[in-house]
Amino acid sequence: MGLRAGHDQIYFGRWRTMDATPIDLRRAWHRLERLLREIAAALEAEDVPAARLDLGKAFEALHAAGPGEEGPEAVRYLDHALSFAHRVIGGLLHEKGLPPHSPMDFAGWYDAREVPFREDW
Amino acid sequence: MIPLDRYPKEIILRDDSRVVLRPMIPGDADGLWNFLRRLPEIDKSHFHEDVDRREVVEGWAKSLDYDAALPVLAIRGGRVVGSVTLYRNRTGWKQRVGIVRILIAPDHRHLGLGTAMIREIRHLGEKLALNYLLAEVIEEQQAAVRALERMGFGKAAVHRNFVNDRNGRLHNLVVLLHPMSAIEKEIPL
Repeated sequence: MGLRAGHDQIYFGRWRTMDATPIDLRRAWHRLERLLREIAAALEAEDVPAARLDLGKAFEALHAAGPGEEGPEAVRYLDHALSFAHRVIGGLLHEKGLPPHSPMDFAGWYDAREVPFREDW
Repeated sequence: MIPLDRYPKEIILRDDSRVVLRPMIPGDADGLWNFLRRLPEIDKSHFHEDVDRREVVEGWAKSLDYDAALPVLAIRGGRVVGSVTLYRNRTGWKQRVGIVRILIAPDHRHLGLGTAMIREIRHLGEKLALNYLLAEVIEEQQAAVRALERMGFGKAAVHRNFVNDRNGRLHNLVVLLHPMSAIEKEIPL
């Protein structure tokens, strides 16, 4: 599923690092917007109302971040939007009976050093 | 009317094992009893009855009423490895509030099963046009609290020394709420 790779590309992006530049942030915003549109298209064919609710929240957070905004608030909103996007992708995978997606399984491809996410339960 | 046409539903867990989700039927009494009696004591604290007694579970199986309590079981190779139950009131001021109870076998934790069960109950809650899902968890059950929060539940209250386990020890009770689409449309949170 391309949505998972799309998510991970943003998840491990430079915008989340300490030395992120405004350009990194802007790039992440646009990538995330594109991802949410792709998720919306995938959701159209599915009867998953809970995932639709999450997608709405993802768009809300994305718009709160704003495409040209900088600073910790913008990063926080982008992070929320990405979390909601991940939850929607999880919902789509669940509907298809596929295993949950954990970005850290693919961390090696992205040269990631930290472990910011882990499925616990 | 509860939409149950999605069952049985097969899902794959993180370890690639296959689990079938489906509503409990009267024939599940034995399987459920075996599942419950192997759970850690703390996970059984909320039950009003002694679930280690087979006749208690047999009684539930005989009196299934999905409109009041819908138990969805996770079954792997004939063994019950998880359950999630949605309790509802047909009438009254809490008829749009669903109460959620989730139990996962200790050897099936950290595989994404708990999260999958929460997804199921969110789906059912949406289909039943509930306003809220409510989950009560003992504070020590941190993995469950984190999983619920990750799936959109928010801590509404923590009651200190509020509930006792079967040995009489007091525990903090965490109340988590999940606003559903119906209420989100009405009240901007």
